[in-house]
Amino acid sequence: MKILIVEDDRTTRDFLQQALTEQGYSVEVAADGQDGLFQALELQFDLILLDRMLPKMDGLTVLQTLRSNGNGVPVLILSALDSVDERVKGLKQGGDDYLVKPFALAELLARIEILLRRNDTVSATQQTTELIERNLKLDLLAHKLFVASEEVELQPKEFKLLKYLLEHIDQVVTRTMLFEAVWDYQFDPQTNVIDVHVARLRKKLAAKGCLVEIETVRGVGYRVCS
Amino acid sequence: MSAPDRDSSSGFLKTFQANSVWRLTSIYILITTVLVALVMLAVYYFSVGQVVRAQERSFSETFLKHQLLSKQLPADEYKLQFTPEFQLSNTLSLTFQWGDASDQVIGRLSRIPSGVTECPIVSRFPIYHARYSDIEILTGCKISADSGEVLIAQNRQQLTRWKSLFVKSSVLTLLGTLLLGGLSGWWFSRRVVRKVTLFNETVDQVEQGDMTARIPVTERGDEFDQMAERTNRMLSQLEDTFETIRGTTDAIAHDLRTPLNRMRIQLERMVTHPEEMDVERTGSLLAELDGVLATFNSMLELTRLEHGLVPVACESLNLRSLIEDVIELVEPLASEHDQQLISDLSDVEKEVDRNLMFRAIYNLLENAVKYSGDESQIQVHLDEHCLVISDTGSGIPEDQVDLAFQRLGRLDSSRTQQGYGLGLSIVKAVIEQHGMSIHLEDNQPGLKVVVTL
Repeated sequence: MKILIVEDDRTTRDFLQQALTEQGYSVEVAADGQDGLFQALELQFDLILLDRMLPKMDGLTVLQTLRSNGNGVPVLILSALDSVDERVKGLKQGGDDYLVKPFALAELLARIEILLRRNDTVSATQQTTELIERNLKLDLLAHKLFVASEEVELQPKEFKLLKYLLEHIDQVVTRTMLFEAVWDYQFDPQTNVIDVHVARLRKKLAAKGCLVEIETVRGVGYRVCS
Repeated sequence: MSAPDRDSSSGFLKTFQANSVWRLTSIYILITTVLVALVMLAVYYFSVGQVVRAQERSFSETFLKHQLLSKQLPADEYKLQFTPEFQLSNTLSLTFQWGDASDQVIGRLSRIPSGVTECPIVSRFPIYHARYSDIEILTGCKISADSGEVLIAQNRQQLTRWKSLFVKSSVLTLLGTLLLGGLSGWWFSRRVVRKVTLFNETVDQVEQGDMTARIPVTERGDEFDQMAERTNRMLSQLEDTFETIRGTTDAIAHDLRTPLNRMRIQLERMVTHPEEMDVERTGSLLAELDGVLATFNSMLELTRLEHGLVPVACESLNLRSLIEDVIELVEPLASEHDQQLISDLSDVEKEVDRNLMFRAIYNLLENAVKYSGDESQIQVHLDEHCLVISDTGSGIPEDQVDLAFQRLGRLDSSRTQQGYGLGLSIVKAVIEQHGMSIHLEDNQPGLKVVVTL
């Protein structure tokens, strides 16, 4: 997996390069918009991390040029501009995701992973009618959970929560992502309310002897490992 | 505008050179003058011009007739035929002279003066009017034939006087037009410049940092007053925003200093005592930093909300299902505190922004859970008129009710509780942006939050 980082702040760039290399990605860097665009057009990347405000060429212009060249590489925009307008602008220009600075590295990694795997996930969920993991079976049509063939009562939101975690198996899912997927409202509750819901779900699963565990990833969110 | 421009001595020149009203007036004066001149020309053409042309026509007709006949006819016959015309002609002075003697002349004059030019070249010559003992100037010429000389003359004096009178009055009218136009133009533009100067002075003042400066408004209510009122309104709004920004900056500085200081102390400790550094400590530092960022974001968001900078996407939806979603989200929190969450909701369709409204109601319920204490009862009631969230906790002392809605106003001054006191302010901003209102009541015991839809 090859990732291009276009970021003018040196500390952030070096940090990102190091972190992504440690994760096993092959990483190229560019310090300004022009160089970034050049590399993006020259080489084949699986993902581009694009800062919005760049010297020589603005991030959005880079994105626009890429897209008008028919280049469909996934682009994750990093930006200090956090208003809804700016987000919408970034996504409209062809960005696939938008992360506001300052961000947690784990959140960035989680989002990168989701972007890279998106195509697989989409095709997988379209056909699946049930999710099976160890002794757990989630029937997506009947909205029922079975642990070791025994039905477990779940509330609708708990069902959605578990479904989302299983759909993103082995990926870190942030609290915001969970909240938006399960409740379908956009805002960051900024409290431990999601944790309480996860804790309750965990308890229900454990009580029935479920072998699937929801791990807490410190400072970021949750993960279910296969 | 710099000082010399306002100087009265150069004021006129200033008015003259650089302002749009004056430019417009000049164009207007020019057009008027041209129009007046055209009208004068037309009047001339149809009055004086008409007379001149008639005179000239009869002169040239007579001239042609006599030129031909005086040469063709023998002198006697010519004389016989034209004697009546020569003696009676009124508009033209015709005279026929065939000898030097005084009886060898018929016509208006006693003789043809010497020095009269040969037709068709016309010249002017004086004659003496015996009856009025007056001298008259005639214009005319003579035709020399074999039989004698014919003089054709005309008194054009009256006409010349008319002409000069006409020209004089035309020039006067044009001058008058110019003068009147110029004066009124100057007066208008001076008025406009004075008004614009007021605008400019106010803008200068604001530019120099005096946000309270306003443009004076007269009672006339003309377009300048309308403009001044608009500008003043804009200035008021700017001042308001400016004040809020200042307030927010102060609040941010004030509220973030404490956690930042805590972080600083811990970091310093880590530098001086590296052996104490562990995951636990760094983790708590990170959490603290996240808290600071969250507060910072909330403050920014609140400011945006309060000033309508957040786009509100209203859609018609059932408030009941929205509130049920909130309750579902909050319920585990309440059961952690052994609190009872009772809801009594009816179907209410409303135009709201679902994300903002969800957030506001969530904040209210979360507050109730957080502050009403263990084993309390929380009630959510919704009907067509209002949404009421009441709890049986300790409530808020009456003298602190106002404080609850203020930015960063927290009743618990020790700040051991989580949260930064922005929750209720955000709720209020959202509710008010939806055209609804919110107030607090005593639930005896406990707190009752009433949102009037």
